Amino acid sequence: MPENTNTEKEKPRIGVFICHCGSNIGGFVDVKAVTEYASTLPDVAYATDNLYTCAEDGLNNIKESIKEHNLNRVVVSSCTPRTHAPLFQRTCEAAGVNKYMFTFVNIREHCSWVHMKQKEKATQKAKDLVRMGVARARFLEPQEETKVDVTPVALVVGGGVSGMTAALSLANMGFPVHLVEKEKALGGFVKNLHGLMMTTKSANETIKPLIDKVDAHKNITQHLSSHLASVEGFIGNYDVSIGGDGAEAKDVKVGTIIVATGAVPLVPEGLFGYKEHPNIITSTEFEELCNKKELPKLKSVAFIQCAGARGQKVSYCSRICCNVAIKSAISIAENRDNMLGVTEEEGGVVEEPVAEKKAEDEGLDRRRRRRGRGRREEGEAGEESAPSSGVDITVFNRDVMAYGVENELEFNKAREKRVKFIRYVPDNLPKVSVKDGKLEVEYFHETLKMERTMPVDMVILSTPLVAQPDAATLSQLLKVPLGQEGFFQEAHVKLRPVDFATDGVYVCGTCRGPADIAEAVYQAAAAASRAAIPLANGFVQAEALTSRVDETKCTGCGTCVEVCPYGALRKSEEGISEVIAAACKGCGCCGATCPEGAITMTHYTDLQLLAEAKAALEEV
Amino acid sequence: MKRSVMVIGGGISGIQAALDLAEKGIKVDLVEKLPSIGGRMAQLDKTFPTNDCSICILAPKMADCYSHPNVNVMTYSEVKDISGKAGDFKVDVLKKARFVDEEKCTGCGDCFKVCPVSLPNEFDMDMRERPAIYVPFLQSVPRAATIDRAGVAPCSNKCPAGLSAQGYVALIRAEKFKEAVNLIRKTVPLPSVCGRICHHPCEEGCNRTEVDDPVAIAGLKAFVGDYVRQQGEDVPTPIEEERKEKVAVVGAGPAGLAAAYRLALKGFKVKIIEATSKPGGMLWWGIPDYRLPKDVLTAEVDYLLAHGIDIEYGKTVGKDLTLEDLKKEYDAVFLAIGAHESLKLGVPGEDLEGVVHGVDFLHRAADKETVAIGKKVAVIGGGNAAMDAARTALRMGSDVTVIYRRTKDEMPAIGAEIKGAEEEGVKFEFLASPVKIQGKDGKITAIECIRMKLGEPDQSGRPRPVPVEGSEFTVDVDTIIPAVSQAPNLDALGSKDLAVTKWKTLEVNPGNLSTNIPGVFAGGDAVSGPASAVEAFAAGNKAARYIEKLLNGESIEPEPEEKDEHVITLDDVKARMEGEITKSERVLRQHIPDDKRRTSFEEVEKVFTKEEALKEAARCVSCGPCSQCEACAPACGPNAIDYNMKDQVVTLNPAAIVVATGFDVWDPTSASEYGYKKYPNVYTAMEYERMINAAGPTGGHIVRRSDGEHPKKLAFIQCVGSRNPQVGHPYCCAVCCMHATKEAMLAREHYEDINSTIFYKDMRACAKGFNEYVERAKSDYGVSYINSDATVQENAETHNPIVVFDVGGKQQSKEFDAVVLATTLVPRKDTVELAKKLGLKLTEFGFFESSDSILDFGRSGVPGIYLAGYCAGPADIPESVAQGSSAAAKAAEILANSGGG
Amino acid sequence: MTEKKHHTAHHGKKKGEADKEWEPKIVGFLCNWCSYAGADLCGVSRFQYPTNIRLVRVMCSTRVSPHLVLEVFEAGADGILIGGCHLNDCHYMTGNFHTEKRVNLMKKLLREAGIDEGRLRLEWVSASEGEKFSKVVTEFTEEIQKLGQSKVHADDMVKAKVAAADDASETFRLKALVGKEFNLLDKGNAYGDKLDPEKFRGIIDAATEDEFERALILELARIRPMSVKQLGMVMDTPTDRILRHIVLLRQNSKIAMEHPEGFTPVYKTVAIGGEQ
Repeated sequence: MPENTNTEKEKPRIGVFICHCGSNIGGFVDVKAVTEYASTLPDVAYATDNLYTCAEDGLNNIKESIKEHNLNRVVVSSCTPRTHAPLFQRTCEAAGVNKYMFTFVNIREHCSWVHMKQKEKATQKAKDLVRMGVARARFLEPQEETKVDVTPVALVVGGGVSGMTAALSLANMGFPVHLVEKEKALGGFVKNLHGLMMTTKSANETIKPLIDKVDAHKNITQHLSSHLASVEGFIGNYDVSIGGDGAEAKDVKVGTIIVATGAVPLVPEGLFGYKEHPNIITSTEFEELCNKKELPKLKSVAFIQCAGARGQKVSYCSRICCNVAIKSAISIAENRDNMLGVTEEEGGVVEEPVAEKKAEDEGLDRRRRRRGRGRREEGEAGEESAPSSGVDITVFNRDVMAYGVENELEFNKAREKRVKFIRYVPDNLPKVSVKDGKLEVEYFHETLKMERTMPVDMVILSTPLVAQPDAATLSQLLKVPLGQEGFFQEAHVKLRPVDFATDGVYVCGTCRGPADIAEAVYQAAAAASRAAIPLANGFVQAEALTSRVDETKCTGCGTCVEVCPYGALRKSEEGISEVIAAACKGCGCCGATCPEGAITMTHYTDLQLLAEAKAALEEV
Repeated sequence: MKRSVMVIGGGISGIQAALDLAEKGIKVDLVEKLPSIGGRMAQLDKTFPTNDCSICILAPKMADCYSHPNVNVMTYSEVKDISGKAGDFKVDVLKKARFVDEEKCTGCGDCFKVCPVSLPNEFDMDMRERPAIYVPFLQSVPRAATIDRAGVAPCSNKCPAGLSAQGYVALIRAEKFKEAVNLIRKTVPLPSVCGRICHHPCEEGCNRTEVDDPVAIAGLKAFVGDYVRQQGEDVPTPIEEERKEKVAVVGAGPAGLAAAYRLALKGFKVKIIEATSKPGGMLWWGIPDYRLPKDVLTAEVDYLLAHGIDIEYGKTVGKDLTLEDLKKEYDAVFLAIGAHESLKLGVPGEDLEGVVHGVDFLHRAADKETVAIGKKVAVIGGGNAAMDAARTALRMGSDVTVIYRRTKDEMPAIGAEIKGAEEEGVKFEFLASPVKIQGKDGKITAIECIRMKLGEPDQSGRPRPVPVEGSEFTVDVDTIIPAVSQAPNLDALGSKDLAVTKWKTLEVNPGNLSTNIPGVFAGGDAVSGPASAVEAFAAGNKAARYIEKLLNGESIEPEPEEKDEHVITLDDVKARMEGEITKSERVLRQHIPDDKRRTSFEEVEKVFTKEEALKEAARCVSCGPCSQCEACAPACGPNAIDYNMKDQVVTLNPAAIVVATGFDVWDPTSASEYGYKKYPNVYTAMEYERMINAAGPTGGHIVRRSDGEHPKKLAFIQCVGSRNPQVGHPYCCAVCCMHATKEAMLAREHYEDINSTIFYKDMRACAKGFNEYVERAKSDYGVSYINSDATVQENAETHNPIVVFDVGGKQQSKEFDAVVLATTLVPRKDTVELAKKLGLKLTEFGFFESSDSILDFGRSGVPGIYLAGYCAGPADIPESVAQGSSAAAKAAEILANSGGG
Repeated sequence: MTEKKHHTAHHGKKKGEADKEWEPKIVGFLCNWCSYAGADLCGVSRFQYPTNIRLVRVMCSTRVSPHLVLEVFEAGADGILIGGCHLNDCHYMTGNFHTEKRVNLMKKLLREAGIDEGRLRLEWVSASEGEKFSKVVTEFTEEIQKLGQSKVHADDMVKAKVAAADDASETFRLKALVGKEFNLLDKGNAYGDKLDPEKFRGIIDAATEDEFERALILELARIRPMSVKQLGMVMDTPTDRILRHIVLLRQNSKIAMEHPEGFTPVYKTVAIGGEQ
């Protein structure tokens, strides 16, 4: 290996600054000795010690020494780079030394503080660490941070509540937005619903103001009955072709893209007698019946929760179905908008619910009294309010997911409206059967430990939301991943909920996973916020910790493209890999993987790391 | 000017909002109440459903936020006041003094080690202690220390000399005895002496007084002075810089000694001129041995003199040399001649044989002179001198009656002295005043007194005694010791130029103690009239300070004496300790037997032993909480500590505001059915979370409070306080089901033999990957789930909690080794106050209310103010993050439309 | 294959060092986000550990290629620690999964080279596990103390084998296989199919053995031209295997016959570039 590749470059002149950190280092390491030693190392032009290198005079000392000794590399040997590197890098830059020509050596957290009783050995180790830092510094190269211009235009895919909200937010921030919707009207899934949670207004009434705002906004260009035909490029610079129904494709240039394509309800084929009787319907179909005012007259309704979810057809809980069922149950109980087509008087005379309840209630009542509070799981609420509609409503559930404030209060309200909540376990699902044209639900009463049968007029199956059938296509088009169940997979489940790992593309709403409207809306605004960052700056700048491909070595095997979690590598037209610096996060996975050794990790090159590591092994 | 946005709350939601805005090029002021950003997430060990290490993923974000050029992070700050409207708010932010320079502090922690104060560590849910100078947690951002100083402790505030009493009590408690003595000596040069004879107003101030008894502060001072001396650790301080200027101090009493010592430490050449043959002034001549043994006084004075102080005994200014002589020879003079002249009673017969004035009597007794006193002695007066005279006379074998014109309650003497006198058999004649001394053959036979009654308060605030006409009575006595008051003997000074007050004391400028003669200062009893030793020390200190200034060529213009620091009240302490101050009995000093006391001059009250002292010092509740012992500043290498730092009000002008103040954890103590705080092995979920954290109070070990063993059967009870209208939280907290599942999984990861059971109402595992997570907990981690309410009892013998629950309508119970309660998460305590300031509406449960919770979640009722995170209602981490970004979007919209940004 | 243990301190010492007590030389590669932070916390908390380790910071443990590790072993390291975030905690999402796969390869190659695989340790240390870090370092140092000093400097054959392991790790086949291992086994291929891990590992094992033997042939024949028989003896490998490798290496112009010794050809490694 060549000793030094800097032949035609500047000869290294390294300044080493060793910190006492008061007695924190000075008390356990002979700093003077380390400094003396440092001055003997190759290419070290100047070495000194400071009581506090991070203090004003320490920093000035660095700046002055750079000038006085014509230093072109700086090694600070003090505490941890995790807190102090930016400070010293700024100092270097202020004195005209590129910040990538700086090396941090940690002799406090990794030396003096962990070897407090071994001053001699700690001093030796500090010398070794400084030698390693100097060895690394010799091979440093100045770096320019990549700056890529950004087209200050956004693209939102999906014209439902999430997409519209995201588009509106971006438009309000002053950015032109292309809003692509595959159907011929805005509104998404919600527009087909009858009612929504937490409001007595109809779904259409609720979202109309939002649609109006989108329609009126001069910054939003709507592309209805359209889809993405092709997407090329990377953050800040996407060339998108929008195809319409039969229409000619439109090409737009955008800087960032938000995916808000929503979800669809599962069709519960083969579950709970679905399709075996016209009154076994899904909750979405129930909404449609309500919309069309075609709900039959009912005396009893059973909701079956988790129809297809939580380990049946899909493994997850669909989050919103319990609350939807509660909403619908209350609507029925209140005969909202005269949805049952009966007058209140008619409803009022309906006889009290099934008499057989009495026996089982005794045990429950006793239990409830003893507890004084708690879950009234059978919905045997107070006598004060009978459902004004007189319909007997039962929700067969596994756990009632009335999370948070509003949902729990609605849950309570439903119980006050005498909606019964009966728990079942997955090993013992309720059975829906049709006998003599009439519906019956057979179930196992978990509290009473006995089989029971309930005749009902209608069974509403709460089916989970599932991914859009074309999610995979979009995922490939945008090179963003799908998760286990086909929903889009965010960059980090905790801290990057609306980002994709790939910079420049963001996600919100139910295409990311089931969510209620309020959640979808704040996710949408969040995605807008994230997507607006590159647009607002007009450029993206990445730290120069990126990989670089040696075109002469790359054979185009594509392994690097596969392993990069950020989509920061792609095949060029010549079939070899190229790095999208703006998207690269600098983990170095591609470099360690590349079978041809064609990829170098800037600032963490083999040369630098090996010099540093091997210096640890030298004898002094 | 670039428009900005203010974010209130530095938890994950606020951090996200700040970063989102900053990255758009918008300036952000992030205001966080605590000394570090990070919020609740920083307290968590792992996060569900990936079991990510919480601090691993949070810390880089904290660092990004803190170091972002567009974010101004203001920790330890609070919103004080707000006005204006969207696009143009004016916000006053109170930047509380942290007493540590955030820029200079390197976070090394050297100061933590020297701090004697131990306080419950809030970050670790009070499961371990932290010092008063601290970082909330090791990964804090900024990693700069903060001194937890809410004000001044009442004991320190009450000390006339301004000695930090809490400081040395704390140092004693931490067994830093030498440091305690050093601290005392900064104000009181004679710790052992002062501890014995001080009238300790500090103890009157002690906040414990209202709980049980005050901490024996003076006794601790006596102990520590003696202890350090006896250990031979009392080595004189080396003088750093020798000065050529010379100072004469006239009088070796407490004021003179204090001044001489201070000046000597500064390197000046100091000479004390003392008229008598002994040092100490009234300490020597006025205080009997049974209160202050002469060897203690001698030892402490010798220590002071060892700092190069020259002393000449038996020389009286005005007789042996003049003030003029001193002026010529010295660069400055301090007159501290005390008040040794007894005032006369002013009644007929005072010249009869058998009248011995109090000070003379004590002087002579101190000099071991035989004082001819009779069998029946009357002491007139109610002050310390009167008590000293009475108890001395008693020890000389006399029958002693104290005659005092008011009642016992008004007596100015120290309580312990009055009590001592009573115990030893001194009689008292209250509400009586002498009118005449009767005699025969020139000798006293009796004293005639008149009864008094208490009238309206006089200038001193005490009721004025008024004679009762015709109530005269006589007491047969053969000796009368008047001890009503003393005055300085100004004639002795022999100077006509020196200005004198009408009370025959020296006139000085009270601000700097200078007399009318340039270069001559005066202080102590000679200026104030008879007062306490601690006041004399204070005067000596002050004189020394101004003499030094004079000799440095600086102005001696009196500095303004600011004492505006908040004095900590009992309520403050209770608020900090959540209402709990456990009673503990004051350690009493041992007394020598009563019979011995009547005959001997042996010290009556024994000084605390080390054990007693530690026990007594432990009673201190650390009012400050910083004790102001000033131990940390010298320990700080980069000189980052500044005790004079002041709170600051910064006015910001944000265009929009994001509120993200997070949540508190409800204290389930009041819900007695769970036995929290009653049974040792019942924990809150947050306590458990800190326990399993590798950097937490138990280093990641799950331990039972009762015996330190790790539990094998662990129960988690959900919805403790929540989904329960009876305690005002009918809502669901939305995160606890997953939290408990995670905790149960982690338990198994820590110990293979732990089995966990979760008692729940509904297992609300309803976000991405949550249901799968619960299924994994069941299948891979053996976690059992029981659908039931649960309450807790205890097996008193083993301290095993017993969970009572029901399944299928049947009550059952099961014994566990420990129980973890998923307590309700509630809005922050100060939410109501903040809502008032911001004009925001709260929901019925105290969360900030969104104006439209369906299509515009997070927009508050006030234009320009947006909500994010748990303060707007239950939310988990990703939801809080998304809401932070969402609020940032709304704020950015405002900026785009208000012409700024 | 386990390494012969060296308890004698004199082995492998350069001249003039004989009287100096041997101290293990350990290099640690830590990822910036978790284990470096954990090491920092360890310091802040003042947990003590032996002074032998020297830490090198990388952004992600995934950066630590087999080449880095093997070349540092070749330079004489007695032990190497790789520290990363716990699985699923990686700052770069999947980086540490790749690390895990690569460490498997490194260990295989160490075994091939006759180096105790205990000399290489992979640990997941989080930012809150300061105490764990000190325990890991303490244990590992003790372990290396037991294994004794690296023989790289003392024994040319050991050095050649480590160099061969290094070279093998850089071959296209191994890098490509291990590079794709995580994606193929854990994430599935483009069609979502996952391979049978056992089968795949079998392929990697066989490839590792092959590549190592070839690299060793090249290494040995670079130092001194050798016949198949000689190589077989030195490498303790059947001559038919050696011959198979030689055929392939000749095809790729990596090795050439230098001269015949009688009827036996003697091979010499072809020098490439200016590196020799």
